[in-house]
Amino acid sequence: MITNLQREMPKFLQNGGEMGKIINDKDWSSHPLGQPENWSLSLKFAISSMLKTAFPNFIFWGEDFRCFYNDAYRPSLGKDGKHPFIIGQAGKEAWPEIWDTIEPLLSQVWNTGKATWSENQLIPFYRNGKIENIYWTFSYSALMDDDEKIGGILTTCTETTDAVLNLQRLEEKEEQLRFAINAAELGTWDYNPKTNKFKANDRLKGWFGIDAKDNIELSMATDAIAPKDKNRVAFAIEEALKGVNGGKYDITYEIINAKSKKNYIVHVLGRAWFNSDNEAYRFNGTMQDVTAQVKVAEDLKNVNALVKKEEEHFRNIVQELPVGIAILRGSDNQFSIVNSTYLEIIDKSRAEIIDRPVYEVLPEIEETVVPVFEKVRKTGKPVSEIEFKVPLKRKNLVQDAYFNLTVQPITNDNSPVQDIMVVANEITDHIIARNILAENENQFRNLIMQSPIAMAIFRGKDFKIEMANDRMLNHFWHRNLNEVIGYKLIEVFPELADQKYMAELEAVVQTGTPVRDKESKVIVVTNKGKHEFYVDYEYLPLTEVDGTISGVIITVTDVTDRYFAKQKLTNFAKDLESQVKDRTEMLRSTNEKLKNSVKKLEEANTELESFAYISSHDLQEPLRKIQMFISRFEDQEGETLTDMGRTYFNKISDSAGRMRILIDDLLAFSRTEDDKSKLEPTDLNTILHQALENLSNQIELTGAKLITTELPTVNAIPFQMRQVFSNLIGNALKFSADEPQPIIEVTTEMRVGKTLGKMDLNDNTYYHKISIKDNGIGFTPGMEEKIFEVFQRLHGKKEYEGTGIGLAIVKKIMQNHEGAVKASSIEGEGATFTIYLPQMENKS
Amino acid sequence: MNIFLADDDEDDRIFFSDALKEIPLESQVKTFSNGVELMAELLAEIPLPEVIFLDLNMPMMDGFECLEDIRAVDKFKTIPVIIYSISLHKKDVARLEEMGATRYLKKPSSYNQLKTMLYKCLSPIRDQNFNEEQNFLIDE
Repeated sequence: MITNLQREMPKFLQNGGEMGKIINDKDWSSHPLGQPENWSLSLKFAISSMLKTAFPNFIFWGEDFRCFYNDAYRPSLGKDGKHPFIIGQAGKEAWPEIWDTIEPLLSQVWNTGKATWSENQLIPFYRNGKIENIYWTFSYSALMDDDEKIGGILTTCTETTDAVLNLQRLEEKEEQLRFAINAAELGTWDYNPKTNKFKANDRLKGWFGIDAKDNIELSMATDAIAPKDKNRVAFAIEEALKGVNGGKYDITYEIINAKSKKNYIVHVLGRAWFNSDNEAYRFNGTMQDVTAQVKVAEDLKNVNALVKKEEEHFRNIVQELPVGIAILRGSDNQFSIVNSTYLEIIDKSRAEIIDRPVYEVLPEIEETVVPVFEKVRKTGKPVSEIEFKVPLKRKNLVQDAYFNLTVQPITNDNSPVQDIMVVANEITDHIIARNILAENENQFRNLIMQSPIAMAIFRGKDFKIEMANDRMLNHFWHRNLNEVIGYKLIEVFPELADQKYMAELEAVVQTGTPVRDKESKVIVVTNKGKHEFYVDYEYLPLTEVDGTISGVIITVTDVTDRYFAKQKLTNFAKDLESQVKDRTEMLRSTNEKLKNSVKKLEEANTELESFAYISSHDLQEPLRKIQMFISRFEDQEGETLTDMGRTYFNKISDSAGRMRILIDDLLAFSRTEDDKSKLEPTDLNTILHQALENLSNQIELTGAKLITTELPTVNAIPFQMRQVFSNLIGNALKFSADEPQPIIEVTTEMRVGKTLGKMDLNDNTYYHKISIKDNGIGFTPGMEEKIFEVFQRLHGKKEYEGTGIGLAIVKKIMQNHEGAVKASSIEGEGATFTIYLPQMENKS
Repeated sequence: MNIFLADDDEDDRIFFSDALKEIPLESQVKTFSNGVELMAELLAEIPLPEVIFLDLNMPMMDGFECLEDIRAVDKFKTIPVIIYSISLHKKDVARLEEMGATRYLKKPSSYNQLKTMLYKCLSPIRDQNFNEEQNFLIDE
């Protein structure tokens, strides 16, 4: 080897790369080909060419096909393989694993001189520590030796293993894709934007309802898109062809089959491909029928929503149930789920108890409820407790509460109990009410038993004696308790069959109406004989909650003594009654007489009135004549009269005048009743003013002072009211004293009828009370009524003028107005006349 | 002024005639002692009076009947008829007005009063200045 290193590299190996160096360095001394510098020129030339070409070359030289190869070939031998020791080796030794394959080819070329061509030929050989499948495309061609015979074979080759495997893989992939497309029932499509041609597989065309022609227009496909999706799809296609998002296309939309009109929902995946000018030249992808998935997804969504709603509903129901529900987790009974009623029961908030153990939250139930929990955990079986008494701290106060309680294990199959559910229905109020009821009933029984009034209770249709108190047993029945209790009433007292009482008891039960009677005779038979009582009794129905009547409670009072006492009294009363009857008869006849008198009086009054009218009417005619003649006489003869004649004449004239007043007053009195219907709103101030005007002479004469006030407006007959004021003020003037100065005062106030005493006025009507008060001579007490009667004169004619009718007229007018008049006086100090007039009703 | 008066009371007829003479109003009066005579005169085709005074309480034919008959004849309808009588119920007064009486003159108890009332009553008729506004009832 040293000698080789030292010697100069032959010229044909220079610039021969790594392989040139390896050939040079190899010890050729004992090799059949000998030292390289001695190789034939042809071989030198061939190896030199081989080493210098960049194409993988291999040379088999000589009859035993000695191996040479270049740098380009070297990678094909891999690591841990034939490199570099096969250099110069015979082909049969270097390639034992393929010799059978290549030897015929090599021999063929050697013999014929014709080159061979093999493409992608599988030639597995040893490299990289193992036999590998290697594909080659290679050509064997003959090399000339110096003697112009074939001296070797040049292998021009290229390893196509990667390419072949890639191709195979590609084919496999395509196969897989096709399989996948078929298996996934995918549609495929391919669109050429430049030609606007659209290719698709039959399945896709089937969905779209397009005939299976090769090429179709894009529009034929887009026409099938459901109208609602058209714009969206068009936009997505546009975006993809513009290259947005790397030309990726992913969309789901609905199509309508052009033939069957059936709807499909399709999911389309695809991609646009772009050339160097950034123009889309291809746009392809797959389409999947997702109708069923979408429908299923929608159904699923609906079902999920429904389930969720149901769950929510159920949760709410549980939350709002009027029974307390709690779920306790783990051996220390941690509160896991509780509803609001449960929280109310234990008087806690959710935050206070969740995830906390029972012994922390409710230490007071440690000895009552917790053992029940333990039992359920231990046995795995539910436990129910009725009217279970539990001390509970609520509102800071531990008190007994009562529950109907169910504790239920929650198990999954046969696993040990993890959770327990507590269902608690609080019945404390019910229990307390029942206790009170029992207490009441007890008290009621005691009350009956101890009552001084005889009492008993009969139950059922046959009136079984349920209870009877001592008074009943001892006083009426003369029997012991055990002789009657539980027996039928009629069994104990068969004598009742002939008396009214059984029927009455039946009636109470049937109608529910109590029966009572007083001083009723009852016969009871005892071992001492027949007893007769007179009793006050009452039968009351005993009504159940449902309204049915289950029995009768009776109370009986012995009134026998009273009955006989009364009997005596009645006899006495009967005598008295006949006496009273006689007296009454007397009274009645007296009354009758009185009534006749009153009637006669009334008739007399009416007669008087009609007499007053007729007489005054007829009287006024001759009087008028007298006055006419008086006036004519005065006119014509007045001047010639003697003094005596003048005096007499004046007296005649005055008398006639007085008679005129009397007649006019009488007429007015008898007519006052006629004009009731002509009430009208009348301002009493005006009326008073007119009355005072008429009386002005007298006022002047007496020098009277008049004090008036604002008067109301009332519903009245004006001329009658004028008469009232004239008469009353006239009266006051007439009966004024000489001293002091006469003062007449008119005042008014409001009064309601019921405050006015006996005056025949309406209680609820409001009246104007108008008083005319003077300081005149007044009248004698006791004459307050009398002065309003016709022709009542209290004073001598000489002292005071007047007809005696004025006040009667006032009274009549006031009656006519549904009012009243009243007089009062202190003799010598003055009189007050008061009239009452109803307040005018408001007219809106 | 031509005036008819029917009144059974002779004194009143005299008062009436005397009073008429003493008031400043030219008049001649023809008096009747009952309604029958008055009607006979009215129907006798002589010149009609310019006004008729009528007492109510008269024998044979009272004032109401008389008024009714007068108002029943067309040509008498326009003649003013003045009731001349003593005081009456208001409803009678109203009835007379309804029947067509022109005025109600209540017989006064003074002669001077009578003169005043007659003048008050007749002057509007003389002047043909009959005023509806005037009160139907004329009294003292």
